[in-house]
Amino acid sequence: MAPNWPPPPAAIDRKRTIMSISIKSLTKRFGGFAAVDGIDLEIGNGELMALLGPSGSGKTTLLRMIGGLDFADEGTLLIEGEEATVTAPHARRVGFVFQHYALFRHMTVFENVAFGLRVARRKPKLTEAAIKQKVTDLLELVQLAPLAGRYPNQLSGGQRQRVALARALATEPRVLLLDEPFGALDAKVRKELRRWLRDIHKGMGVTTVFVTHDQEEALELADRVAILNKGRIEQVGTPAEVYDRPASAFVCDFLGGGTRLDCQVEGGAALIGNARVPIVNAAPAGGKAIAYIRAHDIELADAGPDILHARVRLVQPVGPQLRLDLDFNGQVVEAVLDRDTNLAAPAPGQVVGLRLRQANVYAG
Amino acid sequence: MSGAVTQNRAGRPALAEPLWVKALVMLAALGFLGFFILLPLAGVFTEALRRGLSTYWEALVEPDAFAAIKLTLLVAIIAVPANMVFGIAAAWAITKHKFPGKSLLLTLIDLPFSVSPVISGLVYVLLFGAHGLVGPWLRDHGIQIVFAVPGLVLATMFVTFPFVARELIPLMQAQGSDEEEAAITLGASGWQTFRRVTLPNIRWGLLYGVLLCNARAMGEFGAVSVVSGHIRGETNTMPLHVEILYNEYNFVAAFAVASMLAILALVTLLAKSLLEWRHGAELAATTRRH
Repeated sequence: MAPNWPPPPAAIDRKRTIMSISIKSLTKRFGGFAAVDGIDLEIGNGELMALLGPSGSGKTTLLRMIGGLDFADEGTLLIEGEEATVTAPHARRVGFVFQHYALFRHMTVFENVAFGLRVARRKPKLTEAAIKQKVTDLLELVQLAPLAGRYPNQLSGGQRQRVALARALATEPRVLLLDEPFGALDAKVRKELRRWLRDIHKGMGVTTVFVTHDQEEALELADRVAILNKGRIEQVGTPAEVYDRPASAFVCDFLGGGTRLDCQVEGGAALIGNARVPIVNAAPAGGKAIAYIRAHDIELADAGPDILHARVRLVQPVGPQLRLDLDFNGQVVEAVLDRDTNLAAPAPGQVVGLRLRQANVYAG
Repeated sequence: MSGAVTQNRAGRPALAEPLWVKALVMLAALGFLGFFILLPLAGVFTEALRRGLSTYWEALVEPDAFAAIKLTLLVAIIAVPANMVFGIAAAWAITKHKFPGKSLLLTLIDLPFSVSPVISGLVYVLLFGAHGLVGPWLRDHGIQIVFAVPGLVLATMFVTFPFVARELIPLMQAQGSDEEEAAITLGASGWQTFRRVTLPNIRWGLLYGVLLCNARAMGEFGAVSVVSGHIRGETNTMPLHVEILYNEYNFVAAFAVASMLAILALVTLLAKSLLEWRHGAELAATTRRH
């Protein structure tokens, strides 16, 4: 027999692949309405996962169930392999960052961050010096050390968000949960904080789940994205996977699907008007269907095969882009062109030729 | 630039009233205050001191008056903390939890405000009096409630029931339960959450509710009058004692005891102002919404 130590490689692998969060047919009803309806989801160790969906899709309820703020009616939830479906929140060792920060308004920044250390049930208790050291380190990490003595209402939104994050990290959670972390911030701060959160995640490696309704935020930040709709998961995948190969019309639409046009599937291509458009996804074999064409998959073309004609309704230069609203048989088609290579912009009222590069097609 | 927006052609800010309007409004408010509050208060003290300080002092240390002062304080010391605990519990239950019968509880809390205090006193007589529902059983076991201190405490508690809860419910509703949820995810137990998060957030509202509750507990007349039995030196609280003295044409003594009540009220107000002044910065930092 082989000696017991070192353990065989299979055992090491198994340990490494234990999921940080493992969710099986989790369901939560409010009255007769299933906010979360039988969701299965595996989140790996150290992963940065986005729960993306419109309001009412159940993403926040799912996050609250992982955090122990709501309890499932059915299904199971494991955190690091341990049963946690009905575990009290304080026993889960998760950090939760609330949409409106939920900072303790009567405590200074320092005391907010120290809270989790002071109420900890560990023995022996942390000494005051150890707490001070730890809080100071965290405030350095979130770049708020000079503001330790301030009260929450003396801080800006972005600063409050960083205090909330430092507070959640203080207890060294196994999982970090963020509910719409950047929802209440203006665009510039949001962008800064996104980059900053990704850096912190990379540095600490803590499994992180965040909820957002902003597809750009999810695609930019997450390792993987789960797209929710009406309490169910429509698709899980890397940002590139879900964007390039949307599994359903809903996902395609939600991730900036662009214009929706009726089409006829024939011989592996979508027939829109008289133009044959290549299909990128696993489309229905034939018959009537719905095609989604992204705005940047449309180009202007004067002549050639598979050209559609549309009337220009509106021309709007936006930064480096030129946005066009076009009228195609009474339907509005949105196109985005590069401003540099389209110096001679069409004028409103003009009829232009369009080539559609590709389409995602779903059964109608 | 912004000045051009907020000022009209005469160079005044758009929201500023003409001087004469300001003066009139202030005069009306001050006049009302002086006539209806300051003047009666001054009247109480002048009447009480009409025959000099020594007569005033004698009226207060007279055994029956002294007993009334002690009894009033005793009733308040029992009723106010009891209602404080109840008020916090009720406000907590109503604002942080969902349960069937919640709106019924809300309505019941308001009941003592809508019912005449005399009726609430009568209810206790009907319940605990000699011919009341549980009166005979109590008598057999040697327990006296009506026409004794327990009856006074019960009637006072009933009347002052809503003060703390009514003060806290809107405050706690506005604050929501986000901070409590945050505390729980950070590892706090229910008690820690209450003591370290909920209680500090409501302490000013709580203080205000307790002060109002206390003022009413010491000043309550109607309900207490019914259950007291007016036994001098035993079941007479200060308001009842004032009435008796007044009806006996003993005006100086009546006003002396009344002035004592007024002083108790002024002391509670002063205590509140002092606390607000000492914790002004913290108060400003924590009561504004963020």
